[in-house]
Amino acid sequence: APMFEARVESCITQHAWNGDRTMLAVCPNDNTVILLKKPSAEDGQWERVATLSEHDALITDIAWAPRTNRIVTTSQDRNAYVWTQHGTEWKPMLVILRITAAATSVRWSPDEQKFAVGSGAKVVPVCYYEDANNFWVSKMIKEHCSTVCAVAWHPNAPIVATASTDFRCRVFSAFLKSLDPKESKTPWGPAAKFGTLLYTFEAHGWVLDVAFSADGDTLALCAQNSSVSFIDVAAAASGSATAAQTLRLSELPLMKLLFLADGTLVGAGHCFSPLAFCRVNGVWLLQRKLVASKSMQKQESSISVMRRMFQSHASTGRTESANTLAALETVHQFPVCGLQHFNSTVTGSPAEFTSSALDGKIVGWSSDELAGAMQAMGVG
Amino acid sequence: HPPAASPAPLSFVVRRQPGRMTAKQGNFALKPYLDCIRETLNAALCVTNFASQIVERHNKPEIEVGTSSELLLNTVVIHRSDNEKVMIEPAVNSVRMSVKVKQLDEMDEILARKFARFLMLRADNFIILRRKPMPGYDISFLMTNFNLEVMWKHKLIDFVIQFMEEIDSEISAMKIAVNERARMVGYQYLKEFNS
Repeated sequence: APMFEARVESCITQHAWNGDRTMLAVCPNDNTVILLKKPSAEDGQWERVATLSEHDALITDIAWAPRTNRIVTTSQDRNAYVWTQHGTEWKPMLVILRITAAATSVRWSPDEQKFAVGSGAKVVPVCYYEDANNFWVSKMIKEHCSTVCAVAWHPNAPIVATASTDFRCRVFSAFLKSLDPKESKTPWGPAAKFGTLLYTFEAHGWVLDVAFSADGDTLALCAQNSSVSFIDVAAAASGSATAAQTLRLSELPLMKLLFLADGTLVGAGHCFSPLAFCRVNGVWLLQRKLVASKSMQKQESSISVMRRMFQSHASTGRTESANTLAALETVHQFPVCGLQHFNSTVTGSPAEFTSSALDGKIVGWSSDELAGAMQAMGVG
Repeated sequence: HPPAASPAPLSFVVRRQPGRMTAKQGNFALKPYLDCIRETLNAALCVTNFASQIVERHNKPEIEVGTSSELLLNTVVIHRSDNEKVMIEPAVNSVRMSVKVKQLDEMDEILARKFARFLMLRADNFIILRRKPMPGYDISFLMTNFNLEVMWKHKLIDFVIQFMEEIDSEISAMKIAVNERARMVGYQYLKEFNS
């Protein structure tokens, strides 16, 4: 059930929280990033603290490193910038990405010393800071046949998983000699040379997002044919044929995945409500769809109902009926394009994760057990 | 390697259910056809912003560019009868929908062509209309992710379905009007010789 709902901009594509969840970075579907401060009081305003504008084209992804407090933004102008805070200002530093097409997504590694960028140039640059040159430089992971939509880092090992529109999810080694400890271990044995392809999974649709669970045991991916696949990393590393389990959904495709701390997977996308998946006896199942609880929906007085019917008749020429209802019942009215961990509160309402969509809303959700159990009783 | 070029388009023939038509609802027979189109469009219009992977800094509808075959989905053709059909071609950031209106004789063909031409000349105001129909069809729509960012998807689909409901009735009303006018002109002219 959603815990809070805030319309911070007219439309939002990506969002990212800082380490202590006091500031929010959003991209309002153009070439800038706006930093907002969380309101402290009930009904407070989200105040704009800064605007990061250095890109020329639409910004495709924002990643905020929680401990080092650096923001990396990627854009369709094939650039990426790393922003560091100096007092109240944020200064950009160019990243030499060396790609010839748009960058689609970016993720900091768990140690926050490097980040991986998915791009339309069919390569994944892994970027790190080179002190000698005072620049962020990149090393390329190749082997993709089409645009890379998303990247995800393994929590413990120098491994990166990529999702691509060539219908495949691949896992590569991202071991950098200068940064990673020499004896790094991965589920596929000792760390291999940078760019080695460790595992490929073929889906039946464009793979849109990929995510590792918090302990690194499971790799989840979602595809355009409304399916979610769960890959047991240990089984995949040992070459077992039954490492992957695929769920076909009856909803529209998911675009983003997020593993919560307790091991449940949350996905959202063209089906406007988040779906929660959990593992029961080793088998992954769709647990439930997170919908707006009744208490969140405001009660409408009869006068406002009449006014709304008159307005719709005046503006569209047709009376509002069940078939032509203007707004949908779901909280989001547009596809969800961003999911982030939250685990904090906004004006007293706690939430585990937040979602952003092109309707400009940031909605905080929590999967509390009581609401889930009641939903299950109502459905099943 | 990405999969080979998509196979021949899937075709569905939507059959009327006999005995379910009532005199009151003129377009009741059209409902299964429109429902099928609505569900297909609901699935096809799951588009996202997707920058070109061939030309840097370009962001064009992939269904019109057509060069990357892995970004195009299978074409679906929905037939209501031999001469009425809808073709839906989805891609990663755009969907092209082409409609062939029922045309039983030459008068219908001329009226459909003139009606479609009238709309296509004003395609800018229509936003989602394509200026040229696809070969074999009368009128084509092009819906991109940019259209869907500003319009509600369910409302856009409602609009397209309503358009399809009305185009049939408009063309048959025009045909009746043309025949009526021809009959009236003939009557007035030949009245002179009927003394």
